[in-house]
Amino acid sequence: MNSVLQVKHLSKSYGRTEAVDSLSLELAEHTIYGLLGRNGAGKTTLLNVITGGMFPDGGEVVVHGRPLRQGEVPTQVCYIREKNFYPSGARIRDVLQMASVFHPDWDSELASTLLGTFKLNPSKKMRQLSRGMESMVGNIIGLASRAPLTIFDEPVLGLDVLMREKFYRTLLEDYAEHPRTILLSTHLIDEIATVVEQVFIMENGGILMREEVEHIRERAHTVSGSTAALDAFTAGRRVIHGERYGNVGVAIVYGDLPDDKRREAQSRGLTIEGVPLQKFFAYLIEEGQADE
Amino acid sequence: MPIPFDENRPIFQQIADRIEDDILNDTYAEEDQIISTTQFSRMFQINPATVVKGFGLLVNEGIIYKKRGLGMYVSAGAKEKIMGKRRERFYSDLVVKLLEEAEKLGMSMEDVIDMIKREKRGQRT
Amino acid sequence: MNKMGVQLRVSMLRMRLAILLVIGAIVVSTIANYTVNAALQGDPQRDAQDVAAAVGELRDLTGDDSLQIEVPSEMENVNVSSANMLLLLLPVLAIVLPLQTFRTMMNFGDSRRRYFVGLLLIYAGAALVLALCNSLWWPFEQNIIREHSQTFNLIEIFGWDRLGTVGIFLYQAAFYFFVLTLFNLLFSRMKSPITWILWAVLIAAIPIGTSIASLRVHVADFFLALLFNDSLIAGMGLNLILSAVFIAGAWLFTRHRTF
Repeated sequence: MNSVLQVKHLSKSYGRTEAVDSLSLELAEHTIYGLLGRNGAGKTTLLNVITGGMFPDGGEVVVHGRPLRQGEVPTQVCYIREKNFYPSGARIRDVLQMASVFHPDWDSELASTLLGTFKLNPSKKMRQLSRGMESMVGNIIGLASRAPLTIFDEPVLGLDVLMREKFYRTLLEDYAEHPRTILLSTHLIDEIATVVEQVFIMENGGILMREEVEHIRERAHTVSGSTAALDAFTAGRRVIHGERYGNVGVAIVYGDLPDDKRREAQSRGLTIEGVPLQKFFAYLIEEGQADE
Repeated sequence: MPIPFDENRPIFQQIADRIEDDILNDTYAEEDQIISTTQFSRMFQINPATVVKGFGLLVNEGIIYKKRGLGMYVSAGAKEKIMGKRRERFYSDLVVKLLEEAEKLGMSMEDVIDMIKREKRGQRT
Repeated sequence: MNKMGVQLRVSMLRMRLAILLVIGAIVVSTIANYTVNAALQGDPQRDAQDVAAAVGELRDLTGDDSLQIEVPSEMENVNVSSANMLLLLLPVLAIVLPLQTFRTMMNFGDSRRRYFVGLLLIYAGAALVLALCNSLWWPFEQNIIREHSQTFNLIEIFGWDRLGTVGIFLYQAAFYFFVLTLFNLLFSRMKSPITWILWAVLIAAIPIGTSIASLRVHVADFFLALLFNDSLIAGMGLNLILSAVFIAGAWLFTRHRTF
């Protein structure tokens, strides 16, 4: 698979704070990725450096095979920021028209369909929009741009559940017909768990984990039972989180668990269940911090 | 509308299960065209690659097949195949567990069989 | 629409308020001047009689016959030329555009280089339009407005009227471009310490340049050459060379400007 974006040992600090710390990642073509992390984990800084808005202190960014030089902005990329900077006096219609100029693959038919889907009045001015509507204008631009690399930063901010669903559904629908690389940066993991194929979990300016969502689903387990049985089971395994109450305990364990091992554990009285992804990431990040 | 998926198992397996369920309960008869991967992806808000993987599982098992340019169809004998597969799983997942639990509760095999018979009779009347 | 069109559109949206304010200021000041002039235009003979009567009363009251009040033969009000007031747009434009359009254009996906070239084109256009407005207004002001009231006009003050019609236009355009690029330099990268040093130097230069006698001569020479130059070519050349320096500086700022 061709690489769309390569980030090599990227660092960026603000004064003494390392916002991005020797981070490397690679995005392949025709894949939807999730970039997950808490607020302040360095996601937006990373995205700003990738798209040429900020300059790294060290490391390299290669977009579509071309190293990004200082002051350059990559082409064939559409970056929808969390906070938009469209002129507040411009109408939605005008903003879409202006955005179309910068994206050679722009589909204006899709843009006008989406205005209907997301119930936006194209004659409204940007300053009249709610936070959610503002997000949607950005999302329409991101989708209609059909850019080979499209990046959304917190795309569902301010949107109600129905609109979030509509957005993800539209994204998948258009992606199925026009495959491209999409990076969704968010702190809301459960919502994108089925939408993305791979996730990068970011904490303290670094990538804590890069994994296929399906693998996480297979490998993350909540194991509970007597402490004795639990200790025997967790020995040699990666325990992300553990709690004990007297002689019972519960542990979140990460790793492959073949059927025979599972049956063996169950025969010892342990209960093995899945872990909601949001919870898994929260514990994983907590573990990452404890290691600091 | 997104439906909750089991946290513990990969989604592509759950997708395959769902299609199998639809074949077992006759939502799809043999040689029927089934929902396309795009439709499925859209309806349940799942990454198309994951859906393709789930459908691929069924294609490999000969439960569905692809007609070029037309879509996915249920194979002849698909229902039989699924039933055979599910019977094995019924034994390993349910029967074994049932007996383990019965043992914990100090119930004999006869007690369990009696219980099953009683339940079946209750349903008939 | 192309990228330049988008930049023009964004610039207009950002400048709309400032343009309305400047035009509003011109209208208000024109009306105010007209009113003041009308009020000052009394009947000089009756005024003189009134003053004489008042002085007579004062003499009676004080018993001082030598008391007298001088009345100026003509009272007048001097206004700044309306077309010159449009020049307020020069600093406003070169402050608002770098501060308010850089992020918008970057957000759309524009490159720094194209944005900067577009910005210069807008400045060049603005300098030409304002120079044209003032050049066309100038004969009208000389022949019609001056019948009614006295006005200040840069064209006269800097002696550009000696350079002929084309000279008036060209000198203005070059000078306006100089002003635009200067302000643009000062507002291109507010986050950089180099900008702060530039500001400090500029603010310090005025008192230092005027207070030290030996420097004062050079400062005066510089402004004479820049603004009051007898040679159109030399005057324009100096303005444009300095503009080029400011542009080079502003480009370095913009190239390293972060979002």
